[in-house]
Amino acid sequence: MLEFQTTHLDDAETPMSIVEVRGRVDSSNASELGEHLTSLIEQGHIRFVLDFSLLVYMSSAGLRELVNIYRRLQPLGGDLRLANPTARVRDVLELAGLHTVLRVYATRQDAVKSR
Amino acid sequence: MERECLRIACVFDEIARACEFAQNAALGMGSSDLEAYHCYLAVDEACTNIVEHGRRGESPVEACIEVCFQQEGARLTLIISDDSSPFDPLAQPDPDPASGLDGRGSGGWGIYFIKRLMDEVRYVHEDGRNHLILSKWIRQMPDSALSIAATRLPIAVATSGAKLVKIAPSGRYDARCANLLSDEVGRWTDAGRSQFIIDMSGVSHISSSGLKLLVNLWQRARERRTRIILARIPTHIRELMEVSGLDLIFSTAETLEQAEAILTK
Repeated sequence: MLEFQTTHLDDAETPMSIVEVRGRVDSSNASELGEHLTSLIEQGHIRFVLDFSLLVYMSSAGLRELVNIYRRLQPLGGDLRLANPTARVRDVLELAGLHTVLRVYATRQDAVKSR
Repeated sequence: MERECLRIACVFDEIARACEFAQNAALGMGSSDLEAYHCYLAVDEACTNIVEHGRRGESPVEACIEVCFQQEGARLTLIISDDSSPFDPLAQPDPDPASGLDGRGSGGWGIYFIKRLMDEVRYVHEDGRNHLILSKWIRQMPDSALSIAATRLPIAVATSGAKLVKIAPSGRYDARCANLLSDEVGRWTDAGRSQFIIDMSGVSHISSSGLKLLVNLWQRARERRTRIILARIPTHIRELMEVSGLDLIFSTAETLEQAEAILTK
């Protein structure tokens, strides 16, 4: 099961979209994560905070989607930040070395505020 | 030897069943949730590779993937087999987690995860099927004990009874190895274990910083009221320890049995 709840902070100094990703991301549904973010990019949103506090599982299939989205955002001057990953998700991010590539914050607020 | 198997169709939606089968096998052996999760993730990655690459372009075949588990003592073995063309995933180079995004391809991460999550990984092609054989020692490692990212230690760990942990470092005992060992002892101490046997027989060489850090290990053990026995120390390392007076502070033993005897006294 995978759900998204998206909030756009359009009035902020730097407009940003917060996407809360809930549930589990594996090879059976990782493409949904990619498609959801892609549709937001196509609507002109390019700065994202993915709130992972309710994401309980992610396999390498999910990491691949994150990397693809990050690559897509770079030439647009966009940004992809992660907030509050659970211990297991943080583990796989670290295992793949992505915690040093993608910016990971303890809370959604930290991720939004950080420059 | 207990052995059970499950067959699934070669489609993404079926993989979770295989993962749960492996997770339950681990839990059935008394594993911690963390170890059961490692088994779940390893089987997820293995089956995902088969579905993604194995039968590309062909229609999914009922029951093409088989997952079996067998138990020998504290060792859990998961065998994932499939009938697609022969492919040894272990023959591919590992991706590099230290590389930036520019240098990184999208492939190979699943098998890399498997290597890091399990203690032993082998591949054979037999009876017209690929077999990926994954083994994990169930050590009841608590969730707080470690991140997967830190599990690839140059040391092997086994627990015995409620108090004792045996740790066997291997290769060069340098600062990195010493720190990993010290962390490992610290985590097990946090988890309530109080006796440690460090089997030094696999240590090929000890650096001067490694020697210094042995003193730290001893100091920390004293502070935390745990006991550490160094067992089976190779002669050349024992000589270095004697020169620096380390043989006087540590309890040492010639054999593992002797070490256990010292602890149970």
